[in-house]
Amino acid sequence: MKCINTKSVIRLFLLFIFSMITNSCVEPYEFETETYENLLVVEALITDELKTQEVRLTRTYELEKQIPAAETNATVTVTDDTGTQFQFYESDTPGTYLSSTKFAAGPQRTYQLQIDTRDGSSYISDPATLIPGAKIDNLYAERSFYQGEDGVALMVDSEYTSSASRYALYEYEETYKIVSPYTVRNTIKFEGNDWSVVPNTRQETVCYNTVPSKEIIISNTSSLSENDLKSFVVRFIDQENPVLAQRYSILVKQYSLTPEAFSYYSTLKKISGSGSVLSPTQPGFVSGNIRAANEDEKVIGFFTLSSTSSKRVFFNYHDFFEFDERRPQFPESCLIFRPGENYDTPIGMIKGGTVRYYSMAGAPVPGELGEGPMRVIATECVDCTVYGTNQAPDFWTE
Amino acid sequence: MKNFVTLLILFSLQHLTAQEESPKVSLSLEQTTLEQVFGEIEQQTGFHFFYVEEWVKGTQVTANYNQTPVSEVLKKVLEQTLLNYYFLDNNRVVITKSNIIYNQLPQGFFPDTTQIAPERPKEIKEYNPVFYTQSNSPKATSKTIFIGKETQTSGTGTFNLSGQATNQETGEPISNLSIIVQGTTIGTVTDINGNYNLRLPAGEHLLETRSLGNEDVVTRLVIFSDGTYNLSLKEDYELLGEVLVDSNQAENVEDAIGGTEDIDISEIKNIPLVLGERDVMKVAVTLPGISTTGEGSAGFNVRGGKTDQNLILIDDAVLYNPAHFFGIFSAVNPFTTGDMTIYKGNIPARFGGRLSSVFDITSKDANTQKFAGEVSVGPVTSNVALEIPVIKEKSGLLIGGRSTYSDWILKNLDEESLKDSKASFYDVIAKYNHKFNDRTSLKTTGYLSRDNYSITSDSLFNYQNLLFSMKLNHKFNEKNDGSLILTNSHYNFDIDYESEFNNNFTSGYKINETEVKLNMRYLHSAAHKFDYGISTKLYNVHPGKIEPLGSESIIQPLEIAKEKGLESAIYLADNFTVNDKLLLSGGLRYSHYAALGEKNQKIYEEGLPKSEATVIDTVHYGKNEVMETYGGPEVRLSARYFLLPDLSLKLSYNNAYQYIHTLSNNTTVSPTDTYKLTDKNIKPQRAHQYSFGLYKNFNNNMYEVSVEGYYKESSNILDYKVGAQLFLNENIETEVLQGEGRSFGAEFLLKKTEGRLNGWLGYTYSKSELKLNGAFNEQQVNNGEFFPANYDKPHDLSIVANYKLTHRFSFSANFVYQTGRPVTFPTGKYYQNGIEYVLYSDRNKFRIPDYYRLDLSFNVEGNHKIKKFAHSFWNISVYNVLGRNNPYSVFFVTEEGEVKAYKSSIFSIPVPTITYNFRF
Repeated sequence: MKCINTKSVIRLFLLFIFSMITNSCVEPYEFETETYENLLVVEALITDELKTQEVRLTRTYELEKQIPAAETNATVTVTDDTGTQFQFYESDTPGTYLSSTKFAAGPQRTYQLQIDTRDGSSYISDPATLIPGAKIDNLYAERSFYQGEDGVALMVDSEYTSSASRYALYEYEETYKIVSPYTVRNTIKFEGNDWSVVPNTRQETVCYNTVPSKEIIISNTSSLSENDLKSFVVRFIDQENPVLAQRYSILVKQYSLTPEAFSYYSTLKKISGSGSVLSPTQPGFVSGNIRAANEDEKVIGFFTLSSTSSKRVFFNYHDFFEFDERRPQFPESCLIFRPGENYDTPIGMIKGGTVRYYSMAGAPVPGELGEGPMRVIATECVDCTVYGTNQAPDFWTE
Repeated sequence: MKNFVTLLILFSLQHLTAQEESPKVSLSLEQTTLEQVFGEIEQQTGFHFFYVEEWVKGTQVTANYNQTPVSEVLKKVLEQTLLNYYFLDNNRVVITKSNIIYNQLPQGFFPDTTQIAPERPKEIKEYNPVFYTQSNSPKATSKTIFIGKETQTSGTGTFNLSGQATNQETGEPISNLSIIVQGTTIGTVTDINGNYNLRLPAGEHLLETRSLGNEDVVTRLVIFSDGTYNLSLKEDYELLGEVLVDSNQAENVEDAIGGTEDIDISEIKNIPLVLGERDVMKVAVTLPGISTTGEGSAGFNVRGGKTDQNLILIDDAVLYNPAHFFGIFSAVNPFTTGDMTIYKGNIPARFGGRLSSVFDITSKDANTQKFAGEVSVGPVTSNVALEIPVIKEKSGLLIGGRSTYSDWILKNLDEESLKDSKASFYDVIAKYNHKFNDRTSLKTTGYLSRDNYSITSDSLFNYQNLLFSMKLNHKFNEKNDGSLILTNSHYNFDIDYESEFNNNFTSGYKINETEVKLNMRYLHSAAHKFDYGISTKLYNVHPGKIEPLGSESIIQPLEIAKEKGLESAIYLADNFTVNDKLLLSGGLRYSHYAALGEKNQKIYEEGLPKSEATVIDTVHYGKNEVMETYGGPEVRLSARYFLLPDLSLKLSYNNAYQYIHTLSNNTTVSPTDTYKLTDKNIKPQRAHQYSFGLYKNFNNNMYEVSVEGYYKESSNILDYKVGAQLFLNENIETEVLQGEGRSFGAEFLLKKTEGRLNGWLGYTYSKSELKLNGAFNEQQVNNGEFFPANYDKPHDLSIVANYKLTHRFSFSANFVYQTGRPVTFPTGKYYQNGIEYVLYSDRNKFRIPDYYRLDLSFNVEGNHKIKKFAHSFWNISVYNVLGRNNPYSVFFVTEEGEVKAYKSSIFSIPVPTITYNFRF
């Protein structure tokens, strides 16, 4: 939401009064780090699957930076209450530590995570347990209204036993098919400074893109009359979102949580949202269950033990939308145009990668801009690899 | 001196007004002495003049009079002197000085000079050379009133003068009328019932009344014993709106209690408005020591106190949420409000239960003579107030209502993002006042305010205040009076969630309190005035419930166990006039709180953070069984000392207990904050405040200057663990932290109360800090050290000014500058499960940019024809003329897995408004 600009005083005024009810005037803020605190960040989610378990260690980073630094050369150990130790070694990816043996966490045991970093600091988690959760019984898509928007909701049903954890964390991975709105038969081939029109052999009309979830999704059945989770919305896709436009698939993974772990994730979720504009949430440090041997040092992260369950679902655009509805697409709009006066301009643009060759200019077409000798089109209108890969994933079924 | 005495003896009680029949004289005066003038008149008329030679010496007159009445001549020639004249029978004229007139020599004048001596010379010495005659005084007719007769005891020196000020036309009492004894520091202000009480030395005085909306009257008054004098004043429309803050002329210097702000509602109509709303609360915020967290945020921070520490009373009943639209409008109807007194320093002993301040709002008494009303039409709200006489001169009904048409506007906007929004509010108030006789009266008030709003289409919020109060006043005799008050207050909010899914619910919160209070007053003597009383209050809280909405919903109904508490208090206060200079006001209040069952109370292990894991026992308490008690003495001490006649020093100490807390994990007040009663696990909040102040008035009270300083400490202030779940939580104590607060500040206020240009300038320098410390990490915020509170804004400057062009046109302006408020700023970012988060470590270490704003308004009064149906008034204002985009908050959110920073502001552009008001 941008600040509203002046047009008509009266209209603006009315708008203004009421814009503050919902959004007030909210604009991006340029920030810089005032003071920077360098802390260890632990990502440790050990599951009940028999596999090579993974722990990731990074450091906090400054506000202006984009990528965290890995915490390398640390010693990572998980110990259960029988004294069994699971050693972790650092993999080829710096900061990612893998268990040297495959193991699965079980509900009867308690586990502790111990980390010794190369600067001599040591960190230990509180003893943590695993409370088994339910399996995802059903994952399905349905067209619905959600928070005032029309779209497709992806929902989970889970049948719980009374002993199962009432709290769960979800992660998903969505994959969607992209079909380029235009296909070109020919393309420009460059050889040194020369160029020629050659047939286009590249498969760039059908692509797939896979994206992981980018938000904390947690469910809590403690306030429900039954422990069963029904129609829990894991993901909602607005009808204007082009990921829906062709075929869509989602893999939802559910992790059971202990009440403490749930409280950690829900606090994190709460303070990473803004609350109401007029009464913003009070942010602060979210402490997990890992402590530094040096009392004053803070550590970020929650050593989580979970049982997991996952499910995948596919659907097509027309499963939910009528043919007369406006179908979203990647990209939103495409225009063929004729830049420049001679070949230099379009060829330069094609070389730069922003546009692609469509055809040689012929008779003028109404609405087409420019009077150049070549018709071109934006690259993303032709080449779907801008958005994804042209290799179908292994799990993909049509 | 001897001559003076002799002269006095000559006087008789009768005050003749022989001016009309006085004979005419012709005089040609050229540097003529007064003595010669009198001689000339004696010759021409046969009058005899009596005077003290010393007085008339040195005054020379140059003038020509042709067949002019003697009275006229005397008036003219004495105009520039301290002298006055009286016609006695038998053609005798007495020249007096300084209006000191005794019909008899005051008893004790000769034998007991020590008693009265300190009074008289002072008055004479400081007497202003002012002559009150009809021609040269702007004040209304000067008349002489005699109170009592000389008795053997009248020589004791000072007497009680009491009475009531009423509106001549309507018979309504005039509150906040300043009554000043000219040339002295004696003065008072009428209370809400128009009553006043003055202690006057025996003799003659000029009583001057000052108020807004009524004529100013000077009365010559001679007092010989205790007595009553009622004032009946005409309304003065011309003055209306000219003066911003004029009441309490001398009160700010004289009262023993420092840190008091009085706001007369009729005075604020010229202050620039936002969205056309005249708002008492917004005016309060321009005064030093009172602020809000941000523009348009609800709740007040008084002298570094939290927003839940203010006792906001409408006719003695507690108003829990004084805001509409989050905080952009106040829930107090300006048209039905009589006045508002804010106690921010020393809180009188009759009030209790909140630490920081009392906003004592009193509704108007309805006109008992004739039907009257006031209407305002603004762009967002409209307001109607009616005064309906029920039994003439006995009882009247006041009805006020206010509502928005915002829903209608919202529906007509073509802005997509606002289509689903809903926001509306209204409030209504009704007050019935009945006077049984001169001694007994009854006042009953009912009030309802309600807000509805929705931000997304599937959730609907509403909240409401419902108040009732009944007050029976009775005067037992001249010395004793009292009032019995019964009040009930209710606040609730509801959140309904309705979507296409099966998790629809309705949830809500409710608090109700009923209080019975007896306030008594005993005017023991000149030196001692006692206030005493007793009160008890029962709280009933429904801390939250949630129910499924619709048969499809799988939400499990949950109701948090009801909370009950009984808060009682007894108090005694004495206003002790030690001597002319020193006035002590000492109060002692003992408050007691009992948390009552029925409840299953969890007991936690001592010394460990409260959590599920540290529960050692759960004790069941039966219905109304006392679970825990708290209590203690509260001292309310203040003193005023006159350093100079118009310069006073005030000191005060004050402590208090508060047994109710708001639960909020937002940085500013939200309508869905809940109130939690003190119980076994949550202790009452406490505070101590030390304050001092210097008060001085200049230029006949035209300028008022005050400097006040305070230091305040509080303990058991409630705060919350990061991300605490507070609503629908059965174990709130596991989510809260109790810490300390400290604040100090210096407040400066300069007021100009009269003249074409009037207004005030308030500046505060203050610091407010909190400390949350404990043995465990999770109990600490900022490593257990003091950190600035959310509302800590060290520099706070407000200027409110009015300039009156003509009787009908005036400009006003309002300027505010404040240090930006503290916000919690990230100390870094981190990645977790592919999502970027912000690391917060130190709370409130960063400040948003400073806040400043200028508002302007132009006011047009309707014409002042007396026989007009209605008096109209236009106000055209522009809020935030400079268009400064003042940041309200800076916040960080994770969107699409990445951290984004935003700045929000409420009114970032100039907002123009036109309102039309009329009254009849």
